[in-house]
Amino acid sequence: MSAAGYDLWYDATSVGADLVVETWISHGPRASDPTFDPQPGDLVLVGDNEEPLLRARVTRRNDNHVWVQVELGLVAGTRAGATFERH
Amino acid sequence: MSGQPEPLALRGAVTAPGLVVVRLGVSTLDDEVLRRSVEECHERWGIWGFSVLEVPDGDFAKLVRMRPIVAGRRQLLVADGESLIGDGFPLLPTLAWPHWTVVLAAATDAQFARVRSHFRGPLDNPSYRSGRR
Repeated sequence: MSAAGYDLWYDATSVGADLVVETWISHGPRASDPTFDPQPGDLVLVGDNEEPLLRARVTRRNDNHVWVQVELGLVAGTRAGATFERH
Repeated sequence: MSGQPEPLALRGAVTAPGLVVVRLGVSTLDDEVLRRSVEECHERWGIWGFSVLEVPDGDFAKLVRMRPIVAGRRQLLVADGESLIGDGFPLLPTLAWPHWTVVLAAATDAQFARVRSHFRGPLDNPSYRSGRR
């Protein structure tokens, strides 16, 4: 978990109708965290420093690029939730 | 993707008079945030640009049906398509409607400031659903 309280930054305007959005590890608060290694199926927290954090499922990974599907209706309101949960 | 940009596929759409586009959030046109978005666009397609969404027929409820993420955003930034195009910021019909990409000549603070000047707001999102999340 980062000081920002989430794993990946996302651009809300780029979220598709399927709720999938591409994110970059290097653009997020865990850019310098060598233990952060999200893989398809993992649950992560995404944030944009404006709205409440959202849980999201990793659907694809290509090096620095991570595609996630956000789960609307599942706000990660506290840091006690399952972040970066591997399945 | 890392390395080679993807082919840029455009929808068969043209900007219509009265086209209104929104950028979700309040700070999403700030230099630091915009730079991230523009860099991601450049790596993907080889052009400097960022995402906006058309408001179909000016109907925000319709926009929410097409992009459910919109309902969770309290505020928006709004621009007229004609204003952007008239100042040298082409609008490309990228990805699935109602997504568009605003194209910049370069990823510079000067370009960011100029394109930002075309957006009004932040305005309250008329389709915001506070109890939805």
